[in-house]
Amino acid sequence: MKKIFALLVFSVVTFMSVSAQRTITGTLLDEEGLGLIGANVLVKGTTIGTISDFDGSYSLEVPSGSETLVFSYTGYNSVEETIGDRNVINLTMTQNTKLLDEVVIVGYTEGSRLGAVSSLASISSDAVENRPNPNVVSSVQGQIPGFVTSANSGQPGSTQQVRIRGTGSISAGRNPLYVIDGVIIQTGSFSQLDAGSNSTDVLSMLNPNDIESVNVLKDASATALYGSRGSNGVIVINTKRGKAGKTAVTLKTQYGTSEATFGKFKLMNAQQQFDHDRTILANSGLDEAEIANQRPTSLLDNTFDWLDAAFRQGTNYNVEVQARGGNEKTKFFVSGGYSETEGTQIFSDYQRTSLRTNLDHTATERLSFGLDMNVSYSQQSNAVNGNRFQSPLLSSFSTTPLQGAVNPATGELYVGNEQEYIGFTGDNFLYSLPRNSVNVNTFRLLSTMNLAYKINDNLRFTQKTNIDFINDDSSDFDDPTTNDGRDDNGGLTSSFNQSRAITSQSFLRFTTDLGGGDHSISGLGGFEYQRVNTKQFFASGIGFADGRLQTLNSSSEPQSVGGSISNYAFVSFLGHVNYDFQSKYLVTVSFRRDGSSRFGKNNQWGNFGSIGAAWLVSEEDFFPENDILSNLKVKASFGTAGNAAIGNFPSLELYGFGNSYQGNPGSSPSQISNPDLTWESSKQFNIGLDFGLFNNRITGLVEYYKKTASDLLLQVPVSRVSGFTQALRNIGEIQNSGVELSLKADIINSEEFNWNVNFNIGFNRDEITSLPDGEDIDNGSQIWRVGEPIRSFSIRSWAGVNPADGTPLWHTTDDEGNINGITGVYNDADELIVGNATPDFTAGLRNQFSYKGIYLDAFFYTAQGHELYNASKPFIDSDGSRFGWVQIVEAADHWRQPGDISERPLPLTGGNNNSNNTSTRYLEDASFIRLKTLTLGYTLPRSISENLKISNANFYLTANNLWTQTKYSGIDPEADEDGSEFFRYPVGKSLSFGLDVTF
Amino acid sequence: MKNIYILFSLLVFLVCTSCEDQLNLIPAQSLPTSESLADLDGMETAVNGAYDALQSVDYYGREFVVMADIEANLAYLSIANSNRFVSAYTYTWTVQNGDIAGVWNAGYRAILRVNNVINGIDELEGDAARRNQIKGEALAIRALCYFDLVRFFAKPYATGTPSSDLGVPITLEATLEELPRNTVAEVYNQVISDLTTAKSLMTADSRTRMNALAAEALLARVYLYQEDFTNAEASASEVINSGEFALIDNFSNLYLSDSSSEDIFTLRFLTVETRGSDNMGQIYNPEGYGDIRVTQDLIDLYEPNDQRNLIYQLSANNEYYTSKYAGQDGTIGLVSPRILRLGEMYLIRAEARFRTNDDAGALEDLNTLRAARDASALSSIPNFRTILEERQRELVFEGHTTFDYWRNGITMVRSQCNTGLEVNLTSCSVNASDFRTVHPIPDDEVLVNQNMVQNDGY
Repeated sequence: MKKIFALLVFSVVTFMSVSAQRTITGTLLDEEGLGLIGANVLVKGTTIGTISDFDGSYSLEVPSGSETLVFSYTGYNSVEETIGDRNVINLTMTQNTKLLDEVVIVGYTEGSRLGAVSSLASISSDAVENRPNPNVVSSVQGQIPGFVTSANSGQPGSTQQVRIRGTGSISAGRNPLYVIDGVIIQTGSFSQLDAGSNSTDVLSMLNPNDIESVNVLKDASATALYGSRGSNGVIVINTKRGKAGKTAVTLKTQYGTSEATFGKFKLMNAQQQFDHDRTILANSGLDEAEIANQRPTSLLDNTFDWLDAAFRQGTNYNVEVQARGGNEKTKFFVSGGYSETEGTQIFSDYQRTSLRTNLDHTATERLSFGLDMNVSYSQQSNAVNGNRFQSPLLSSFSTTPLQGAVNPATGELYVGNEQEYIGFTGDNFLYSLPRNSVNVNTFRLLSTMNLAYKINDNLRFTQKTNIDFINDDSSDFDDPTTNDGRDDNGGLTSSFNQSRAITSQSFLRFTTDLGGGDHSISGLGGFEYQRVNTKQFFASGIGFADGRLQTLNSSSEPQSVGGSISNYAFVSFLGHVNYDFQSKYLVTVSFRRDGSSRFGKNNQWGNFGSIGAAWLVSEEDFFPENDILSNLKVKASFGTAGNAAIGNFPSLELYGFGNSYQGNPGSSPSQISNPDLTWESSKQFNIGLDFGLFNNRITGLVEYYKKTASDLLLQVPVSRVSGFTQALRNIGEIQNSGVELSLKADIINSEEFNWNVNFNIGFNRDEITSLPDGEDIDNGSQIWRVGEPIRSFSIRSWAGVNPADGTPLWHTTDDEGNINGITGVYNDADELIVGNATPDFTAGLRNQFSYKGIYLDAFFYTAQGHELYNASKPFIDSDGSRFGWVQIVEAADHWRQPGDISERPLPLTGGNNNSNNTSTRYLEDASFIRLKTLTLGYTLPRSISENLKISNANFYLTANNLWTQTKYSGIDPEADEDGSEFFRYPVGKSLSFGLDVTF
Repeated sequence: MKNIYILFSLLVFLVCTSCEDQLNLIPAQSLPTSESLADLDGMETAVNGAYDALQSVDYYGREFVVMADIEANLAYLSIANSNRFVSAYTYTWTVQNGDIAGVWNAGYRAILRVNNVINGIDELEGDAARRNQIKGEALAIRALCYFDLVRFFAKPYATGTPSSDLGVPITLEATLEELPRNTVAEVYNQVISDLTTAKSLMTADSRTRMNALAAEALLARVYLYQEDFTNAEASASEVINSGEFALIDNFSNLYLSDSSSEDIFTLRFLTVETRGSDNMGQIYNPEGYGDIRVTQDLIDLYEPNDQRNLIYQLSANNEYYTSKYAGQDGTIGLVSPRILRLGEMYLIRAEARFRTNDDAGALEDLNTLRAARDASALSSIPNFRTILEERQRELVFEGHTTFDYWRNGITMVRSQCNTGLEVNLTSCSVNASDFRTVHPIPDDEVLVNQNMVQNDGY
């Protein structure tokens, strides 16, 4: 049910001689039978015409002798009708699907044919709205080939890593650039107090229901305009704007529940853990009495399922009102929404309130302006990550079930520091978590003032001024009676972060057809300035009399204060030109010159550019009219871009002043100098084929690309004798190449039943092509080696368990890395490259069915070929090394006597010969297929909604992550390129019910 | 129309003239090196940065000090442990061990900080005494770091062939060059040279910073490790006879506060610098991690009234713990390490005298110490073991135990071994000639530095 409204409305009415005129009237409808507003009706060969009004009806006085009327409307096929002796001419106009995709407003460019030449994929609002996840990125997953993201944490509102066409850097930023309504905005985590994968992303402040389209810019022709920041791709989000016409007011509500899912992962219960612990003690040579002393049967009287206690049924609730409307002069989109998500882990929540006004006004024929304002406020209580005592994540995955939660002597919850408490963390999170809190509150104001002045028919001046103001206020409180707070008698850290970004863009935009209708040139040239100031401040105090007093004034002793300031600026000149010949041959050239405070003195300015061309083969005269191939376009582009996510002052030799001795300030060398340090460069070549079959019933796109990134910023390890462990250089080179395919097909398109399919798949292969001195660089369990993929795992290869004595075995290799033997000594085994963390391909398949008013939308997503290191297992499948921690159920299946063939060595206290050290024992194939979204809905038929005086009503039930198929034995096979899963907050599945009503 | 063009050009022009300025931003909390070390105040701040480096958890904050004791027989690692020091206790560390790499990195980090001071300070104007004090402190810190590095990563001077055994690389300036290892003898010479110069430059007497007598005390220790007993005795005597120090009244109070009468150089930690569970004491205190517990070997060393007998038994599990590091000024587990103190000086002199056949002199020193600690007087010193055991009684958990075994070529025997309380051991003793008495050069260093040679056995 889409209507495309005209962007430019011409209105020319001429009155000729009064005599011999007649009036022709009629109604112009679209294919759904709705009136076309603003369609052109013209007497052919003259300038006499009119436009249709709000219900598609028109009325035109035509002079006698007029023969033909021409009806046209942007995006629709023009129709010529002979007047004859009719006084009423009604028409149904049909959409011209071929031209439709080319009209895009993306980033800097407006109304140009950007999409025709470059690699740009768009998804519209229906793919991202009404989703329970507050971060829009999660909804884009799997819809666009080459766009890869994974849900790394179930913490609502958490950051998600995004990669477009592979990983473009080794140590500098790898996330794409985010643009909202034409302005580059801040994203990522701001708070100092939330950690790692559970951190809040300020992008979650954007209400996905405000989004009109998400456009992903993938090749150089599209990204060159973003210059030194475009090499990782650009995501351009456009929010909804007003439309002339009746004001549509929509009310949206949604409510759902979710639950944590753990895949094949399962922990031992109390009896199993008891038996396993006793076995370990017996294996280690203890006698019956000693075993009974360490693990008395009385432990079985007070047991507890910790994992179950850490997770609950989550809920999500959204309510929103949107209003959209306007007239020819003023258009508005207004929305207000509230969203509340309770995560599946206890005490993790996210609430967001968001208000938006997008206002556009045409003041005079020449001048138009607008104001967009988005204010949002979010509050998050954060599930604490990893190594804090109070972390339910660590505790629930490690505390033995033999430790009860309640002290039988007192009937109260254990605190965790009692002598008899055997839980490893020494903390009972059921006691500490309600008392200790990590809260992150963020306020964001994103506001743009737009101005456009039409100088003449060919030239326009536009000015955009934006402020992106983010204020984050976080606190981290430790109650004095809990383990984290005990040492200091409680502690509170309050931190404030503020980021103020100002962006100003001034452009001259031109369009001209160089006399004659065959040529048309359009483009822009101008200037952008962006300045970002960030400021941070924190204070912490200790010594609290009571855990209910949670302000700094209540602390008896100030403990530390800190603050920092950091700024950066970019100054840029950019321009681009589109040339179009007969709408068949298109060429686009773009250029950007960027200077930034981040780049070293010797390399402060950079130039970036691209050229792209497209040929609409199907528009050629020689192209035969046929029913099969209805549309064919070939395109290619080449260009350069850069990556400036390199920190704010990486080139200076610096002393830092953070340390102290006896309260006196101390200083120390903090950075080695490099005045040559600058952005990373990338070159990309793209070639593609767009096609349409069977009158565009099936449309598709195939693209091949090759990206080379060079001058990569690498921390080159240096001899530690220098006092530093590494120094930064622009020195490496990597390559990504791949193929993307997307297909859309209207398989069945009848009155009552529709079925369409949307399929996309992206293959990416990456390789490091150059490193300093060709030397490998170690990256934990991964390695950067020339000739290998960027995220290669290099670890020792597990060779199983020695059947004779139950000790662990690993492989040894020769100099070429081929396995040539087995050893029982970990240090003697050799590392080899055993897989990588990025998928060979990702694909999405979306099937949409509709029957009368009922619709069903199923979306499958798969990522195949990536390995994931299950970093939790060395702790909970540890062969006795982590005695006292709960273990997974499979740990009981181990070697027991000579001759046994087992996956696991004999478990002993202190472990068995380093058997749980890093090796392929814990590296698994994490390929998966997942039913990401399944939505069943019903749209009220027009007759009923008219009776209710509403224009549309839609009920739906949507389920996320309903079904997963994978061999991975850990918690969740979706992981980002770090390739390691360590006690993570699972994403879980959810079911929501929603209702949209439009008045 | 024209107006618009003029206005626009003006706008672009105005914005652009400030273009270049906008790109010249500097960080708000760092300064370029040349500006940080421009005067004596800056140099002193830089030396404070070096003390701060010594306080690193990898170095005197915990790991370096603890490893020397957990690798010996006076303590064991409980099976219920927080997974710290397991490989140290069992001698199964890999070349990638983080604690070992931490010592290497921390040592060289401190060395970089003082090298910049030593190299730049002579050109600065200012009070000569102050300049000398700062330079002296920097030299003494450098000597301490090199001495610690060479005894941790190389064969002992006394039992090896120092003129050819590989020591650690010596760097006396800030450089990224990949340096080869100097010999053990060369490192010791550098240490002695730095300390000798330092001792002549320093005049201030704060005991929480390096000072002339601290340099002398460290020289005594270095000479002892070299078995240069004459000089060891002379330096120890200098310190003892200075009259500046007195053995503490009650030894159990030594680490409960941050200063005492016997401190020669204390690396002082303020209460606000507490690291909570990562305070050094917490690895010994059951309220913290409590992983390291006392063995029968240590219990057997003490007479019941000996002030140094800080061993107690915990009722919850009947195991033995030490209360030496209960905590400073009420902050649990907080420790200001006494890197150099008077007690050690008596022991150094006793050992030096014993080894030069001055049994009477040695006995006198031992008994002076024992008297102050409420231990009964010894009547004779039957063999070297007596000296060794007195050192153990006095200096246990202060980072000396394994070094004392290896430099004297004595095998470390654990009589409390695999009784069920400790982490499993494949062997209950370590021979002084075992390759594992020397820690491996960190793998990260060997991988980067083409000129680095790894220790035997790794």
